[in-house]
Amino acid sequence: MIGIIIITHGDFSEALLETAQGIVGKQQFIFAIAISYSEDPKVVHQRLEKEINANRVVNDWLILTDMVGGTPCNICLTLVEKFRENYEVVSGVNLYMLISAFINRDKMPLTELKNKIMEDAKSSIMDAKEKFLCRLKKVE
Amino acid sequence: MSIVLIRIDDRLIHGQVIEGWLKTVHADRILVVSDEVVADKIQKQLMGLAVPENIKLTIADVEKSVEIINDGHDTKERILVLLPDIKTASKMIELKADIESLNLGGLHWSQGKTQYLKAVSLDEKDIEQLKEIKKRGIEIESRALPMDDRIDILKFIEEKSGIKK
Repeated sequence: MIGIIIITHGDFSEALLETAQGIVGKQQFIFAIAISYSEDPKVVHQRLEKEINANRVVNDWLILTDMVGGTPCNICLTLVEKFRENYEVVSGVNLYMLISAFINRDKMPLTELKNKIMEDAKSSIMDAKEKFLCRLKKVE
Repeated sequence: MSIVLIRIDDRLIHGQVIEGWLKTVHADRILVVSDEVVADKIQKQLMGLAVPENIKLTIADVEKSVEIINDGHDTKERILVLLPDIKTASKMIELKADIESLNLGGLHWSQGKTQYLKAVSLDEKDIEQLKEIKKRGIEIESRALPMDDRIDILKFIEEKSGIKK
């Protein structure tokens, strides 16, 4: 089983998880960690490690974070050397990426899943108006 | 004058600094003042990753940083300086760092500290050190981001404790 942790600035991670589950249904082994500016990054680091160690059923972890260089991402990266190939960190989390992770996590190993969700998230960004106008033109 | 900002922020390089400050103050170098980070391979690499490619990064101990700051006033380079705590600022001032103004950006809460602003928690010692710094004529303003109101933190604390009494 691949576990998923979303870790972001503010309540973004919690809202994203709730929204994604609203679309594809409730998920197992998925946690959201929100970081506020008053919090000690070291405490969050411990919370993340505890979450990982407490879930023995989960062998591999996919960590989704918001921005490279931000505190949430920095915290995740400090655990890379410890968990190595059982641990992937992807930035730029959005709704498509999370939904893709939910749908594909039982179908492929961690490295493949990581690549798949990055592709899906990238291709989710498009000129929606242009795409719509194109369709309209075709109908006319 | 090309030391464009001296900020106390225990997260050092993070989102607010990169997205909020760097572009507003048009810095082309970040100086991180930390004896601890200088000796920490992982922290150093994390910081390198966080900084945009066109921005230079220097991580230096307190003594070296004082030199850089005092020379920095005469260079064309625009330097944004980050300090992890008030203690480091006091040390730099003792070593005669030429500082006119300090931005108090973020100091997280931990046991024994009082949270005064969203991202600023201080203990008695911090406040004492801030008062000492202010006595030397250095401005201390608290702001998370450039567009926020500048808060005179010592005045704010005074008023807050006045209300309690």
